[in-house]
Amino acid sequence: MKNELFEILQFGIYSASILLILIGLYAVLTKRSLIKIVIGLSIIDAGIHLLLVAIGYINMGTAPIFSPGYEDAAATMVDPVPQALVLTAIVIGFAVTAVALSLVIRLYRHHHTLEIDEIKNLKW
Amino acid sequence: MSGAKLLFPAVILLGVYVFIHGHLSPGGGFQGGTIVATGFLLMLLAYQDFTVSHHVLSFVESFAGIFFVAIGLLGFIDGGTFLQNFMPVGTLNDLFSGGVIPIIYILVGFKVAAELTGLIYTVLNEKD
Amino acid sequence: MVGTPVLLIAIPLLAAFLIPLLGMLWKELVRIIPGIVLAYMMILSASLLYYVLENGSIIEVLGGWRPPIGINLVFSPLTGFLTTIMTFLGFIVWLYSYKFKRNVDFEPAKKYFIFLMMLVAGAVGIVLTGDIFNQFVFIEIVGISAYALTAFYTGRNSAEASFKYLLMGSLSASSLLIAIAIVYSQLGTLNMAEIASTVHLMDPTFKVIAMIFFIVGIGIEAEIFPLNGWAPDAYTEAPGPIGAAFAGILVKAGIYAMVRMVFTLFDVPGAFDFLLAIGLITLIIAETAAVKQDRLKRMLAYSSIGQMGLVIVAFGIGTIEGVYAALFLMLNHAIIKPLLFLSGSYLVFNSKDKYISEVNGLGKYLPITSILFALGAFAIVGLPPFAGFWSKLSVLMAAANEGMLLIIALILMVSVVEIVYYFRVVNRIYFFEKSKDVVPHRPSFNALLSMIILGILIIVIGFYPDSVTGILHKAADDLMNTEQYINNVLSVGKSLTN
Repeated sequence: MKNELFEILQFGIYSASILLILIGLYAVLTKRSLIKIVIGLSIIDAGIHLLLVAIGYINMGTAPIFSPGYEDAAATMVDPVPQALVLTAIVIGFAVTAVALSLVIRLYRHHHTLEIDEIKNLKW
Repeated sequence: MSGAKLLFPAVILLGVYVFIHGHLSPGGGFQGGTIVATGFLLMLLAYQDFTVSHHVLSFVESFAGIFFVAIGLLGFIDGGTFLQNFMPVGTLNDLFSGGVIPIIYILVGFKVAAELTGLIYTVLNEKD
Repeated sequence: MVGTPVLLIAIPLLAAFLIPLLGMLWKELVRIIPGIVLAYMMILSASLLYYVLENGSIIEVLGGWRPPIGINLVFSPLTGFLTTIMTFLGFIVWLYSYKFKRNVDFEPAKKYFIFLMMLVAGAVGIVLTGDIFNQFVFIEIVGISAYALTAFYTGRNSAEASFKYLLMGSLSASSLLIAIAIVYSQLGTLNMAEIASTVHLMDPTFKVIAMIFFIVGIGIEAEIFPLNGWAPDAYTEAPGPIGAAFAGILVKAGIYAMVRMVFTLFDVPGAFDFLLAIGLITLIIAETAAVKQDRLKRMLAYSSIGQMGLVIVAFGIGTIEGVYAALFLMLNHAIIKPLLFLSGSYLVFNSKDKYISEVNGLGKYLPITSILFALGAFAIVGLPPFAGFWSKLSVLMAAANEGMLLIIALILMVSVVEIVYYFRVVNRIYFFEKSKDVVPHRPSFNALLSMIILGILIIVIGFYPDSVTGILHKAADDLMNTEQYINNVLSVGKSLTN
């Protein structure tokens, strides 16, 4: 019974992460305000990080930390490598969001609007 | 009179705890640095005349970065490869264990805190 | 040997941290230190390349953890060759932009040089690394430096071009992360050599899906169609030397990552045909778009995208002559296109919109710059005896060896189109009258020196191509030989007793 519960949970987490990616993609592609597009990029990042962490899960595993009383946890840990990858990816996503927001501030100062349809000085 | 003055040391303490114990519990350099920057953000929002000196932040940031690369190069000269461990690896779960990793976490914590505080300060104090 | 490959990434990082500190002591140091660092990187990379051509690849392990668990750097003939080109170009760009338009002031100069060094260090990192997640991190470093450098001028349009680049770059980085997630979940490793040796155990559906996500992720840097919408805007709005850096350094790293993925990591049949098709589409669309441009830097940007399409076609031919021709094309493009960008930047220095009609008659006022621009134009369309002739000849010969007559016909037609739009500009420079409201700006001594160095290289390679063919043959051999790559890396893992 516990096994089926974990299966459903894993299926739920995978589908939640793909749903987050699709919601973020929808925001980037269809919204017209610049800030909403940047928020959409953040949501896509969140979805992918969730996907990466969920991949490292091993059935009935414990957290990958050694603490007193759990010294033999190495046998049943979940995979710590995706968690390290996600740490790096979070920092990178944060830096890109910071650059994006500073660009949005500059765009607002020049064009006095946040609609992306108005900002098309550079064409084909 | 707001309670931010009372909370500020507690938040800084929490951040420093997180990045010093990076090798023992969840957390590490980036997380601890962000918590410290949040403490500064609290003070900047609560008080109008709270300032942080831009020069000090630049100094801390540059020094932390230089020491990080210097430790990597020291590992190079000592052992043979970049960032190799050259400090004693103590027993498991001790505070002074794990070789060179706690030092790197402390440096990263300082760098991230200085950088984020500088960023918040610049954005909040933009003229025009 | 003056060092090891990891210093090619660690030293620029150290210098980038030192610059704000030393800038507080003496302001000129902000300009001098990047020059010393880039010159050191160039010398180190050239001496390591010389060593590697005699003795085989250097595999450098980081952090003491042996591969395939740890991260390793691979300095082989192919990667060393690309690194030497990139660091040389970085040095030339520094020499040119010592005091250029906006970075004569201290504050912008600090940011400009820090980001320039991060750009070169990140691109070198993409080429040297042997681990796919490490490659992702370096792609992001290069991306952030490129977004910041594109938005360097505070005019009206640079923020828009940079935002467009940022949007497409972010989406493609997310796609790359999904590809890494799929590969890790199926194979359990992130090391390139280990992936190459176990990829035949992967489920074919997952293999194709992972490859598609990889191509979308890396295609942005490699500027393949349809992922190159950001490129004309970014090249136009960035400062002139930065456009040269993008064209010479950034796309080379992107194409290397793509080629490494197709040749070494995955063994999907039909990948070469896909490269051929997409290279041809990129080539044709970019060159025809270049004809109807009326701004100089935009035309050069489209031409650069087209040349990269030709390089991908040469890689897609799949044989060792094809790879040799592609590497020769990359070398020539890396020397000629920056020369065109650098001299073109002085030809339209004082104009706001950089229309081509403003270069009329500047042959009398800026003699050396115009001669160098004309030299670059002749070389890139493939006129003998300049450098571009030998590379185009190798591509055509490699295609002829495989009997791909349609490709030969298309390449020749596109070359005619190139001649049209380049000679149009050269014609205007020499044979038209200068209009009254254009004020030519004489280039400074360091800018002239950097352009002349590139021009001399073009002539030397054109008259004496054997100086580089030895290196190119070894590099092409190295790319085709997957087993040697796997053995080199994994044997280091077994022999280290750490």
